[in-house]
Amino acid sequence: MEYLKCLYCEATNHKNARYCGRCGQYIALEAKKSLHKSLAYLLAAIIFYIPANIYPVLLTSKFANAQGSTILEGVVAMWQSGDYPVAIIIFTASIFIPLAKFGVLFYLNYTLARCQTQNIAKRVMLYRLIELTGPWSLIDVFVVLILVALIHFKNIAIIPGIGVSSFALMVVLTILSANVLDPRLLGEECEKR
Amino acid sequence: MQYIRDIIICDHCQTPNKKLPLQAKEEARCAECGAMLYTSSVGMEWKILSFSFSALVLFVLINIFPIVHIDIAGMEAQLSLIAAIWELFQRGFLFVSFFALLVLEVFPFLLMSFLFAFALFVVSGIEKSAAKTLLLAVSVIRRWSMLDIFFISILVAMIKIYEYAHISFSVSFWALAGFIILEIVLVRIVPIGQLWDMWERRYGVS
Repeated sequence: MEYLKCLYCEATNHKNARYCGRCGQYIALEAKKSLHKSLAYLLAAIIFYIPANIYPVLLTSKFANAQGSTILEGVVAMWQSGDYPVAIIIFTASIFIPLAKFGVLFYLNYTLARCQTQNIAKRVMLYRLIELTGPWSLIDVFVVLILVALIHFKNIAIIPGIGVSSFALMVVLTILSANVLDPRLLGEECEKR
Repeated sequence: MQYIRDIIICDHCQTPNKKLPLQAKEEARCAECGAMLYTSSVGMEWKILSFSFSALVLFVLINIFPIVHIDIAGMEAQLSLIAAIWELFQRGFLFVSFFALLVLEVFPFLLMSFLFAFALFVVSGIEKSAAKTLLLAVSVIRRWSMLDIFFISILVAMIKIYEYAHISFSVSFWALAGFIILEIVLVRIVPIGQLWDMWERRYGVS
C-alpha cells in the first residue's frame, strides 16, 4: 500500500513518512520490532496463564475454615447451581478468550514473520476481534474486587487468592501484545516493509 | 511532512477511500466492505462539551455514593468503588489494586476531563497546541478506561450472590450506567480520527 495510517490520529500519511503530519508522533513501520515485542509479551502472558489457573482466584472462609476456588471451579459451581448464562459468560471471558487470543496472536505473528500475504481481510478481522474482546477477560478480576469488598462479615468472608494477580497480569500482557502488534503490517508485502 | 487530507483508510479492510464532505446526519461508509468511516461532525464540539461535562458529574456521583447495597440475613454491606480498591490494596494485592485504580478511576476521569477541556478550547478557538496535546492523550488513554467492563462485572458478581442476599442498587449504579453510555457515544462509536478532523478544521491547520 502506498499510504501509511497514523495509529494515533488516523491521518493518512505518505508511505515513507517517519512522523505523522498531523499529530507529530513517530509512525514508521518497524516490522521486526513490532513482532519481537508482541511475541515477548505473548510468551510472558502464557507463563502467567499457568498460575492463574492453578491457584485460587478467591477463597470463601466460613467460620474460619477457608476454601479456595480456581476460575474453572467457579464456572463448574455456577453451572451446577443452574446459572447457565453466567457460567457461559465467565467461561467465555476467562478461559476461552485468553486461549483463543494466544492462538490468534501466535497465528498473526507467525504469518507476518513468514511473509504470508493471503487472507489479509480475515487476519485484519481477527486482529480487531482480539483487540476488542481482550479487556473483557478482566471481568473475573473485577468480580473478585467486588465480592471481596462486599462480603467480609464475621462468619463469612471472601478473600482474594493469589491467582487473581497472575490472571490480571496475564490479561494485561495479552492486551499489550495485541497493542504492540502493528495492524498495518497485515496489509503490507514483505519486501516493502 | 505533509499528509494526505482527502484519503481515509478503512479500519476493517485497510482499503483507501476518498474523503467527501458530509451534510448533517450523513455518514460515510467504506466502498469495499461497508464499514462506517466517519459521520457528519456538524455541531460535534458542542456534543462533546456537554456529554463530557455530564460524564464528569456522573463520575463525581459514582465516587460519592455506594454502588450496591446487600443484605445477607441481617448482615449489611455496601460497595463503593474506591473502598473496594483500597480493600484489595490493604490485603497486599498491589498490582491488581493499582491497576484497578488506573483503569477504573484515573483513566476514566482523565479521559472525560481532557475531552471537556479539548471541546472548550475548540468551541472558543484558543490554545491550538494545547488542544492537540489533549487530543493525543485522549487517543492513547481511551483504550484504558474500563468502567464498562466493571459495570458488567457488578452484574456478574450480583448473580453469584443473589440466591442468599437481598440486593438493592444505589445511586452510583445508575450513574455508572449513564457514564458508560456517554463514554460509548464519545470514544467508542465516534472514530478518533473524526475528532482530529474537527481539530484541524477549527484551527485551520494547513
